Parts: sequence; structure tokens; C-alpha cells
Amino acid sequence: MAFTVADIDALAVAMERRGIGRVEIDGADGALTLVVEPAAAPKADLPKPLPAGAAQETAILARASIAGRFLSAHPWRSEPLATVGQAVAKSDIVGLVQVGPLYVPVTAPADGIVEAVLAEPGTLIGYGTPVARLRS
Amino acid sequence: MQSTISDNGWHAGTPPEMAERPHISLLATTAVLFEAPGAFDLAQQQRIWALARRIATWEGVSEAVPGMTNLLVLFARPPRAIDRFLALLEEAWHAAQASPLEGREVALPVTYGGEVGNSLADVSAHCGLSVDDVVSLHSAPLYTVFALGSHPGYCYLGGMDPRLAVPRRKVPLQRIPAGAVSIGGAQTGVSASPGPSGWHTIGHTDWCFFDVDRPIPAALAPGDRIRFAVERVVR
Amino acid sequence: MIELLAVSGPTTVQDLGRLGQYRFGVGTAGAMDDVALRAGNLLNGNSEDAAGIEIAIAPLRLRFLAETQFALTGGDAEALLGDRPLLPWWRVTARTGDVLTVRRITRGALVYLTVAGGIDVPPVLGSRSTQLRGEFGGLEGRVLRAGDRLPVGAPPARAILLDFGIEPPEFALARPLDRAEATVLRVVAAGEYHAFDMAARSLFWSTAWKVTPQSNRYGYRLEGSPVLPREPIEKRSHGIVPGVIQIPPSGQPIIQVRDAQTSGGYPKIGTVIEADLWRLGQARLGSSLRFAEASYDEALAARDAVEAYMGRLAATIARYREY
Repeated sequence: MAFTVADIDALAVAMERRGIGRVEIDGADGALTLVVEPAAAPKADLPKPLPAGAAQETAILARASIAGRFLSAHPWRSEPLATVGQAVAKSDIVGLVQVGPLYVPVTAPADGIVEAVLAEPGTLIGYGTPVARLRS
Repeated sequence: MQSTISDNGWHAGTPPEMAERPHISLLATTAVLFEAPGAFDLAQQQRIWALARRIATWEGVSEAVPGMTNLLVLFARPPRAIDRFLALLEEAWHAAQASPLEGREVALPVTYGGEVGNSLADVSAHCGLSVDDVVSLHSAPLYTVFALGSHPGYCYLGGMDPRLAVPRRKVPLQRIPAGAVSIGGAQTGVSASPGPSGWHTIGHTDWCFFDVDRPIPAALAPGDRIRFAVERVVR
Repeated sequence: MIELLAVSGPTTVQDLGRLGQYRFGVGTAGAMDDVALRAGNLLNGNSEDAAGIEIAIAPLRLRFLAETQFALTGGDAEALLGDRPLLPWWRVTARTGDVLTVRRITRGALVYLTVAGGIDVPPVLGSRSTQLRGEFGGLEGRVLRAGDRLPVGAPPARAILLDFGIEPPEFALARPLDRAEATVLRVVAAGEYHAFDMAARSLFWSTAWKVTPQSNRYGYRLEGSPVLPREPIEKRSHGIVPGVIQIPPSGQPIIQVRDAQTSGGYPKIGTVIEADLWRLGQARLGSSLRFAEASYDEALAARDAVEAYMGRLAATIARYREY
């Protein structure tokens, strides 16, 4: 496809600003679907991250920072980056988003235990899409 | 378009000295090897030097490096139309006139025998000559630097007395020092830096062949001539 | 500055090689896997020809004496920054005092450590590559050892703050002829190809050649059914280049590589194309190589494909930096 990373990024940022959730573009050489999950204003049905230091057990979401194809493991490694029950530390990599030849990490926003991997490997995910749910 | 040697009609597989035309072959897209037809002699080598000077100025060529009656043409950018390049190269050879011998002459002080030149006795025995004869035959000629190659600063020399020829070692030595003067087959040379060698070392010189701090790092160039000056003979 | 804590094999400083010094007998040296070095430099925002460290044998341990952005490319390895495992073809930032450990090379043969700013040993004759035979370039012209300290150049002005990686080239540069059980190298026939009869040639193309333990930066010595010319050939000494496949009297091919002598006399059956030299560099000892015949024009096209891949990487990384 003729889209560059910069194009997709710019589009995602513009969508987020204007509150557009989904864009589908059909071109001669392929189609692009962009899904933006607004991180700043999470939907009501998504668990809300609480400020660090909250005493109770809370769900934390690791979200994609860029739109692209979700990879649960590096293609050279058989083991997934995050498995249910695994303890992760803040900024550990829990998944990858492939944009062209680039692999951008999805990182844990805080220490926690992986409760669920939410994204399907190989699928296109959007900017802000939750990739893994962690329990503190 | 196939542009392998088989399609260009060069005399692949024919020893170059038997061929009337030069033998030109590809080293993938990195370089082209030009091998002059005819005898291995100074006159032919002088034409190679002239060809090297000419080709080195061609666009897309990074270097033209003389070997022994041959020339390696290295590409900075490999030509798109290789057949045309090869044809021009052959034309340039036919136009090349022998470069005059205008190099400098240097004398290299050599200690024959001793710790480094410990094969002097073996060479003398193999050739059926006294140690003194080996030394005097080896130090008599004015050798011509035909080409540089192998390792930094190493000179391929022409002019050794054929009576000093000794077959190379079956098992190479792991390391001989810089300055080792040795004989291998019908050739003689001086190692410019320490390294493995299959040759027989008969002496040693402290002369420096290569210095990265000089504007031209190699002390000698094709066309220069050297004489081995006997400093002493250690028996 | 980087301090080497433990080095277990021939690890050297390499850039893309010392070009234009052949007429003085100076070979190119340079990274065996040039694609990995170039990509590592792009990850760090360097120019593609900055110097890095070529790691041939693990374990290796080193300490960053200042905050340093670095990348690991080439083969895959069990590598840790402190106690944090690292992904291959990945770029991260080390803090002052962080220790990088390369425990084991698990895929390919060579791992490249590139740093933002490049390894800043003094350039010699236009290159920072280690010239082992000439004993110059790199760090004092020798392999690295524990206790060595390597200077790091000034990082590029527009550093990338996020950690990220790139797809290894085997995906982008995949070819229909790739096989799981052998590294396939495309070869252009060389000067003495026609001195081998049809049977010898077809043996050359069909054999799965074993990479013997006597293989290194100088040359890859292969083992298989001997391939012999119709009659013994002795060539006058002539220039050779990395990738040249010589056939010595034993009939067992030798592929000359980056630290090879600049000249030789054995008959040459072919030359591995430039675009596949990185694949040769990543072939492990004991693994198998196969040769596939290519024309000059196919070799050019393959070279263009590598350049296009590099161009795409550079453009994508530049856009990500602006992101």
C-alpha cells in the first residue's frame, strides 16, 4: 500500500483529536482500516486506570502507541512477549506493533500480572488499542 | 541478458599465455579481472601498468590494481552495461603502450641466515649451492617491483635467479616476522608484516615497507627497483 | 566510552571496510554482515558506515560508562541489559554503568553492537575497520580483549527516545530459492569456470557444502565431494575480492572473505554476489551452503534490492523519529 508510517500516524492523531473512531480507505492497491481507541477518554465499558499507589487491585491496560499489525512474539522467538499469569515490570514489552519494517513495542504502564492478552496476533490494531490487561 | 563469461566470448579456461586475446572475467559485480595474453615478462608488465593508469581514471572505477601481467579493476559503482565496459577495456589494452621504467631504486640491508633466516642452510642444500653462493646470487640482481598485493605493502618482485628456486613448504608456518626475506618457488619477497607463510626464510631486513602515517602508505610502487645489500651473513 | 569486561573470541571493531587501498595490498576488512551493521547504524540515527563491534563468539560482557543508545543486529542472541532481556534487531538506551551481556548466539553467527555516535576509534586510511594482518585500524589493529575501553562518538543531534526494533532482513529480502536446511548463495561464474567439466560444475551447484571449523573472517573453507578442473591450473598472482570461490588442489572450495589476502593464484570457479555476502557472514560453522547460479545482471538487481531495503529502512526510521 502507498501509505507511509507518517501518513498513518498523522491520520491516527487527527482521528483522535476529532473523536473519529474508525476510518476505512479503499485504494487501487489495497485497503486500510484505522481504528482509534481514545486513550485520553476511555469508553465506559473499559476499566479505568487508577493513579499509582491505589491500594486496591486494579486492572491496568497496556495500549498500542501506534497503529499497525499486532505481534504477540518477535518472529524469531517462539515464546510470546506476554502470557497470562506472567509478572511484568513497568516498561516491559508485552507485544509489538509492526508498521512496515518497524517494530514498535507495547509496554506495561506499571508493574503487574498479565491477566489477559486482548489483541489477536496478526490483526490490525489502532492507536490506543488495549493489547494486554494487567492486575496490579 | 546473460553477461557471464561464457556469453562474452573471452577465452575462458584457456591459459592466458596460450590465448591470442586477453582473458577478461567477472568477479560478480565487485570487479573485473583482466589477464594479458602472452609471456610473463617485464615488457608485458609495463603495458599492464600503463593500462592501470588509464583505467583508474574511468568513471565508476574505484581502483585498477596490477597483478602479475594482469589487472584487477574494482568498481565504485558496477557498470549497468557490462559488455560495453569489457569491450572498452580490451580496446584500452590494445592501445596501451609500455610505461617506461621510471621508478626509484632502493637498497635494502639484509642479514642473511640467523634466527629469522633459519632456512638459509636448507635452501643451500636444496639448490646444491654454498651458503655464500646463495647469498651472492640472491643479492646480485636489481629486482623490479611488478605489483603490490597479498598483505599491506607486500611487493611481488621479478628478477630472481632461477637457480635459487625452492618448492614451497607443504605445511605453511603459522607466523614469520615482518622483514622476513624468503623464497617460494621461483619467486622471492619480503614480508611487510607478520603472518603465515609457505615460503623459506633466508634472511631479514629492518626496512619498513608500509606505514599508515605516510600520505602513500606503501613505501614501494610498481616499477620501483630494489637491491638486497648484504649486511652480514649468520651461519 | 564502553569497557569490555569479558571477551571469549575474535571480536573486532568494523565499519563498512577500507575501500580504495587495494593497490597498496590493503584488503577491505569491514563487517562480514554489512546489512546488519548498516541497519544497526540506521536504528541509532548514525550514518550507515559508522563503526560497530562485530561479535563472533559469546559470552561477551561490556559496561557502558555513559548513557548510550545502542542496537543489536545480525544474528539472534540471548542478550541482557542488566537483567532485562533484549530483542534482536532492537535499539535501546543503556544508562551509565549498565552491563550488556551476550550469553549465547542462538541464530546466525555474528551479532553487531552499534552505538549512537559510532565506535570512535581513529580512522586509518579512511576506515575504522580492524586490519588484522596489517595490525592497524580498529583498536590497535587487533581483536578486542577484556579491559579494553572503546570511545563512543558524539550521538547524532536528533536522537530517538523510544526503544524500537526493525524486521530482520531475511523477511524483506526473502527469495524463492531460500531453504530451511542450507544458506543459499547466488554466485556469478568466474574466470576458470569453464576449466571445470560439466560433471564438476554440476557437482559444484548441487552439493550441500559444509562450513568447516577452519572458517573465519579470512575465508570459509568448505567440505564436500571434491570439485576438480580438467587439469591442474596454476594462475599468476592476481587480485581477488571478498566472495571469490577458489578451488585449491584438494578440490574443496575456499570462499575468500573480508580479511582475505588481496591476491591469490588458485583457480576461481565463481564469486558470491555482493548482495549475499551478509548471508555468508551469518552461516554457522557446521552448517550447509548451496550455490545458485546468477548472471551479472541478476547480481546487479540483487544489489539494487538491498539498497532499496536500506532506503526503506532509513525513510521509515526518519519518519518515526519525527513522530
